[in-house]
Amino acid sequence: MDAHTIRAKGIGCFWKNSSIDPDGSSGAIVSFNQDGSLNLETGVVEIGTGTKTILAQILAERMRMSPDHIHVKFKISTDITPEHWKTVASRGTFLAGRAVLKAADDAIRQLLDIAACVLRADPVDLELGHGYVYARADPSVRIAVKDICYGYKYPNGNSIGGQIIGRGHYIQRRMNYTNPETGEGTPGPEWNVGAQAVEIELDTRDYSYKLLKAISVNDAGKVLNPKAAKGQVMGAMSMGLSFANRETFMFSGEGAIYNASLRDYNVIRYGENPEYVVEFIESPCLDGPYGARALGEHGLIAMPAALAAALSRAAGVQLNRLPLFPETIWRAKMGEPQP
Amino acid sequence: MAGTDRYTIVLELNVNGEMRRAAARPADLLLDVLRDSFGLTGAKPGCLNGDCGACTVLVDGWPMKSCLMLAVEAEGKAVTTVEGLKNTAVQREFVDKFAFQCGYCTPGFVMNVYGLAHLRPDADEHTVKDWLQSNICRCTGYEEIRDAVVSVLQRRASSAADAAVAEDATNAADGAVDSPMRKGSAANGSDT
Amino acid sequence: MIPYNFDYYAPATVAEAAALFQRLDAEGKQPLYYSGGTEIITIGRINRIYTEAVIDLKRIPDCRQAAVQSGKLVLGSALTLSELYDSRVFPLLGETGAGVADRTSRNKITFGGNICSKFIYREAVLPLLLTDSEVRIAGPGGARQTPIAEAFDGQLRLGRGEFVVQTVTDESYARMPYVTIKKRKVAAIDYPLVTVAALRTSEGIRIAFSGVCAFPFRSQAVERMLNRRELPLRDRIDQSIALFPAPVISDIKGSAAYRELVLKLVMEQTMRALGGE
Ligand SMILES: Cc1cc2nc3c(=O)[nH]c(=O)nc-3n(C[C@H](O)[C@H](O)[C@H](O)COP(=O)(O)OP(=O)(O)OC[C@H]3O[C@@H](n4cnc5c(N)ncnc54)[C@H](O)[C@@H]3O)c2cc1C
Ligand code: FES
Ligand code: FES
Repeated sequence: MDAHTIRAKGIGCFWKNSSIDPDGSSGAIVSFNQDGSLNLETGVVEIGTGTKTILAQILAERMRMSPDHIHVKFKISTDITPEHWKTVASRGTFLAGRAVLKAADDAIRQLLDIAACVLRADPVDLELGHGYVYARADPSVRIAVKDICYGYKYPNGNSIGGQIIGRGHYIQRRMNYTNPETGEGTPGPEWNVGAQAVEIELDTRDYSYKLLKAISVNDAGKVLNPKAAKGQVMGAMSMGLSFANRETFMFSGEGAIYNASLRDYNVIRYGENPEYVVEFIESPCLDGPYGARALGEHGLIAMPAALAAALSRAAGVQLNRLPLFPETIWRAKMGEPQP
Repeated sequence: MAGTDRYTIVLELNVNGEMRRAAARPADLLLDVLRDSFGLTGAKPGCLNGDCGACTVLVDGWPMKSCLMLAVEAEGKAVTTVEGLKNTAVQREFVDKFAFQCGYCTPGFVMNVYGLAHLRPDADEHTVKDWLQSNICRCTGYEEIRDAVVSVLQRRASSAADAAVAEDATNAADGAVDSPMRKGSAANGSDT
Repeated sequence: MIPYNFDYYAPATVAEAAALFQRLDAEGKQPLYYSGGTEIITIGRINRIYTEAVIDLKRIPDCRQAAVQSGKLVLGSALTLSELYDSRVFPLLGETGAGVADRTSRNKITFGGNICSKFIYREAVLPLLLTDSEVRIAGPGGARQTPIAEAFDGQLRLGRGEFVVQTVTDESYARMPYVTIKKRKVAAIDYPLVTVAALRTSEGIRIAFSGVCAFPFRSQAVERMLNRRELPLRDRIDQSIALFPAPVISDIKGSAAYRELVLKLVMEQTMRALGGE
């Protein structure tokens, strides 16, 4: 660039398996309203990841309807809401998504059973879609979901069926504990991989630097909601960079924290972020809902390594400690051992 | 707190265009009175130290951290909280651009951007950055927020924005855009 | 929440404020002048400052003044740092003040409050030091106007019950070339690692510092050294640092050694920008 400005790039790769309790499970309940719209209840806590939106999309896809007619219940009551192991470990979409699919299938089976009576058809010849159950070979033979989801009443008052409640659950297949000696075991169903890169501009006079561009390519299995997926990854990249470049607690010899407020514990702010490029590849995870893999946390993992690689290259010295304050780089450059 | 009664006063505040009263201590923060006395929980307590911006409201149209202001200081001024904005362009753009995840920082960002769009509709990138660095977001990568801000400012700059402005003005509480300088305080030469 | 109670007063005149202070002080209320109030609120919350009465200066017109009177720039202590920046009446002050905290906080933080702050930075005082401004101070004993160099030795020396009403600056200074640079540890919003403000007058370059030592300062000895153009700039800078009134600090923002490195770069950049090579 010029006498004291160096641009450099660094790349980091990650793999991650979401290790959770081997019996961590998730449940879902699908119920209907009189107008044929649906209620979806799961124990996933919506903390901004958009998981509940994605669960509604999954349900809508399976029920062949618009997500606009799905009411997602946000409130969680430990009394009656189905259990979701924990809203952690990028497991929300995977566990609850599978539970929702099972609940949907349960509801569909019940809808087809009633419709089969009313339409005088074999359930295997029937299909659900767009608010109706209809004969696959002749869609004019049909009945509206709203007319059967609370039972069907014949003109003379005779009624059959009843309220339809779909229930589903999911538990990961054949997980086991890892052997503490050898590390062998199956902590989670799928390994997820990705590659990340950072481009920086280093000022070799004081070792301050700018974050220019950051790239992340994750294997998402199947991207279920493009905007949400991109947001998850960008947010994670931002946190990874902030963590790598400034976030740490500083302790006195007695263990007191020197920077106990956000005045001194700095995080990345608006405009300090690099330009983000987020791409996905899709190699489906056969166990995941519609092939989806975990992606919530993954955007964070290799950012520190990518940043350290870029800065090491620019400064011409191996940087092995976080955070990468300009002073830290300067000290490494001066040959001080990195503690 | 010992002897609090002796310190209790009746505050009269103009919040979202409505005159409201509350019994409070002179030492009470605007943030706490808004939330606890008026039930306006849009402004969020984050750091209570002026560092995060989650508590941002407008005071006479200016973004203000309500954790850095005593409620008594707001007497005679127009306070606008996020509850005072109804489907404004800023709110719509935040939704459209996915400019939030958990939403904790959102009311603060929205109020700051709303103030910016009204006081500095022609803000350049430097100004936008200067203003928005007052708030912290832990979830997004800020790019979504930037997209929303750029879009709001563009709409205001374009002629079509006039409609949006008129709409916002009716949607926002009264007096949301008065500059203290313009309101005849003694300072000269303001470029607002 | 502030964990103790206090009364709030908003006097309308300077005299009223001073009289209030005297009375409340006599009653043992440990009164505090309250300007932006951001410091009183935030350190009050963690019990690092105590008072039973605050006297808000913002409703006193003199403290809110921004005027030019016979060639003098008169700035009220209760103007906010944002107002000073936006008005552009005194760009060196406006821009140096704009390095403090963040924009929204500066809509509340005042000029006077920053100068009288308990923190070690008080960055808004640098332009006053550079321009030989005078400070109008009032108190129970009446009013006085004092050159900043006499009133400020690392912090503003105020008598009991005294407060800053205004500062007075020769208007010609507002048109001189200046530089103001703030370097932080890493983040966009932070206290300074180094803040340097400088001005080029007909007699030479003036320079003042914050964040470097435990208090903000301007030093004649440092300026004399920096203006010795017969010496190479880097030598002048090295030698002037040896003349600082106190050691360069080491804290969580940076070690003394790294601060010095950054300081030298900023000083060089400053001198060059003002044609002082
Ligand atoms: C988020 C945040 C970030 C900050 N970052 C920085 C920074 O980067 N650099 C920096 O320099 N500071 C920084 N500060 C500190 C801030 O600038 C000071 O605390 C400043 O004092 C606040 O001004 P105020 O008007 O709110 O003061 P107040 O709280 O009103 O007063 C501060 C002190 O000064 C006294 N006082 C106020 N006005 C007068 C007067 N006219 N005469 C005599 N005494 C008076 C008060 O009694 C009190 O003791 C930051 C503060 C915040 C909240
Ligand atoms: S809560 Fe007010 S700035 Fe953080
Ligand atoms: S959306 Fe969660 S902090 Fe901004």
